Amino acid sequence: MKKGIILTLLVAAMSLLASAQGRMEMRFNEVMTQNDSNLVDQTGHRSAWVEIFNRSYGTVGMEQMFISNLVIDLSEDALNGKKAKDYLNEYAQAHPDVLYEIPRGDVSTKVAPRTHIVFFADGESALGALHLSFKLTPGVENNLYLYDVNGDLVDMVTIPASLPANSTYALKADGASELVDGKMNAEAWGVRDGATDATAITPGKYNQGVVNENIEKFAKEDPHGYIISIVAMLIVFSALLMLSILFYLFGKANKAASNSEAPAAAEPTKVAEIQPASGDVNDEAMAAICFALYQHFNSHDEESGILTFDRNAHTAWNDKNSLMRVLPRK
Amino acid sequence: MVLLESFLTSNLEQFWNFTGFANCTWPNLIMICFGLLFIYLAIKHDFEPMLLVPIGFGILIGNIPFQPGNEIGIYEEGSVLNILYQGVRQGWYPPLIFLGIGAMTDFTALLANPKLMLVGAAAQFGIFGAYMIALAIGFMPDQAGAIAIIGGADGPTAIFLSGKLAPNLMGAIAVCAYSYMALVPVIQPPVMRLLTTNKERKIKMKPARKVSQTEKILFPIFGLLLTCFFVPSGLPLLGMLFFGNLLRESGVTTRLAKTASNAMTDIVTIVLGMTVGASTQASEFLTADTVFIFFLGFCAFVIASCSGVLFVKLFNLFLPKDQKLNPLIGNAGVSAVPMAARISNDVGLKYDPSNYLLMHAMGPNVAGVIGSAVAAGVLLGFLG
Repeated sequence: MKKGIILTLLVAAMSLLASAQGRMEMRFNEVMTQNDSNLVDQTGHRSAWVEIFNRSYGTVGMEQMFISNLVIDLSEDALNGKKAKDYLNEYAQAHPDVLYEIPRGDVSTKVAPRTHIVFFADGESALGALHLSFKLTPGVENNLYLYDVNGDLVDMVTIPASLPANSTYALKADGASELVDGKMNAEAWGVRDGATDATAITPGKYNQGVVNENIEKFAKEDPHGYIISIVAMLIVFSALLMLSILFYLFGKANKAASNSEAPAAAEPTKVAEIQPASGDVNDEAMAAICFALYQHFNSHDEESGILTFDRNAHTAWNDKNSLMRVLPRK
Repeated sequence: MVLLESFLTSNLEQFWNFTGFANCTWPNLIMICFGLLFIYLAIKHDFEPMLLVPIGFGILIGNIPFQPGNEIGIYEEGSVLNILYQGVRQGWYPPLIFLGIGAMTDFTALLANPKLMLVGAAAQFGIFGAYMIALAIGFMPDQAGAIAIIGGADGPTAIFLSGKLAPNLMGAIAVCAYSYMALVPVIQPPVMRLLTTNKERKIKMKPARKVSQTEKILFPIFGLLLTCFFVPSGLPLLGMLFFGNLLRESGVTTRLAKTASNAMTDIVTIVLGMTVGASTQASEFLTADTVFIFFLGFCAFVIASCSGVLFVKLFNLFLPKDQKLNPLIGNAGVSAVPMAARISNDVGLKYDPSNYLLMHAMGPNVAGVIGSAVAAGVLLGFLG
């Protein structure tokens, strides 16, 4: 019972960790602060928008994560004994113009692997889960912070005040940004004005065209397949060679161990000699001999190369009998 | 009366349009002939019946002509066949088969003589030889990789990799892989005879040493850790293979091992074989690519057999006289378990009726299973 409870708790903890790991892979990907001619929401209105990219390979539910336009002080003094989650929750209710908690139970906030989700920063959270409770202000520096359910900072971005209207501040490669000491890497970001394909504004889509670089690279640099063949064969050989060496050593160790365990001068035990009166030994006698030997040596003969008493040596690979249906008997 | 006649005619005409006779084309009939041939070979000549009967019947199912739009065909979303086909498409049947293979396979022969693992590695050159030829013919690297894996002589691995790298070629690749596996007794012996001398064929190998239960238990654990740290992309196949083997060898999960190796493998084999066969609809299958795939598959099998035999001969140059290997076990480096090992044994017995090579050949044979899964992982890592 105790073991069962411990195992259940372990599994639950592991699944929670896995889920948190997914949420930690969410990244701000593209932001527009002044939208006059771009994306419209379901009511036909245009407003600033924020695109977030799920760079993990699993679906991430963003419910109860927090998006804010101001850094929230989550120091112990500020929390004053409260859990970060509860503090953020209360803060979001008290200051919706600063912090937005993504509501529970809305399937639109589940983000499929390697895809995007777009939030409208229009201060109209009553319109749905994809509408933030605060607005972004054009012409000034805007900050965006993404917090996990437990208050961990997942990502942040500072959008420059100089960002022109109808342009976006976007990651050059989708999801390719890491925080360093809680600060963004500005070099990973750039302004996109939609003038060319390379600077296209892409809400809900990849900023960078998706190509299978590997295929292109191999087609170009190894057109005959020599390099990949040699490298791959080396890998296959290395893996099996290491396995081979390891089990060669295990074999040696096993042999040495069995030699040291063997009695110094073990007299061969003489088992009762059985001489059948005439002809072959019948099944009962054979079973009795097997059982006696089994009892005597307390061992069995499953090792290869040693005589086995199992007369049916067939396996599922070659036994036709086991493939046949048993006919019902009268 | 006229009204009734017109009603009847129009309904019969509509019914006729739904029948297979009205929708039948020559390619359908050709594929049905292929299906019948597979079933004939399996039943009459005992060529891999467990695989060719489901595949052959699947080809019949997949090539019955019908009017699309009624959720019947394997490529129609929501149809029963399409739902079963997802296991092939998404690649979760092959790892389940590998779980069963792991639970069935006795690695004792390999553990008794670990150097035989290298023979299993050498035979994987068939994969990369075919890869180079496929590139020369004009296939893209990902397609070439998917086709080349046929050289591993491992159906589930071929389905798994082609599903990831070239899903449009998967039907042809799977049928090709299983067909050549069934033809191992035809393809391999001439190659083996061509590359060995009479004296080499009579080499008697030392009996295998005793392998302890501890070694057998440690093998799947260390095997997984070593191979998957090298090639994590092979994890779905290798993970399940070694897991199945641990179930078998641990001695405390006999019930699970039995289920994995019998009932579960049988169920997955039935569904896998049938859906792979059904996926060969004439419109998808009868193309020039399929002809090339069969040609490349043949090349891959021949190269794999040659490289295994030649590697043993090369290896013998460095081995002491009493530990020489019989080159006839080299062909078993492909992972067609246990057919390839049986071929080694049969050919060996022809030249020396007292020279039983089966257990020796099982070593490279099971190493071939690991080797081909590692090779598939490498290709997936590079080209996926």
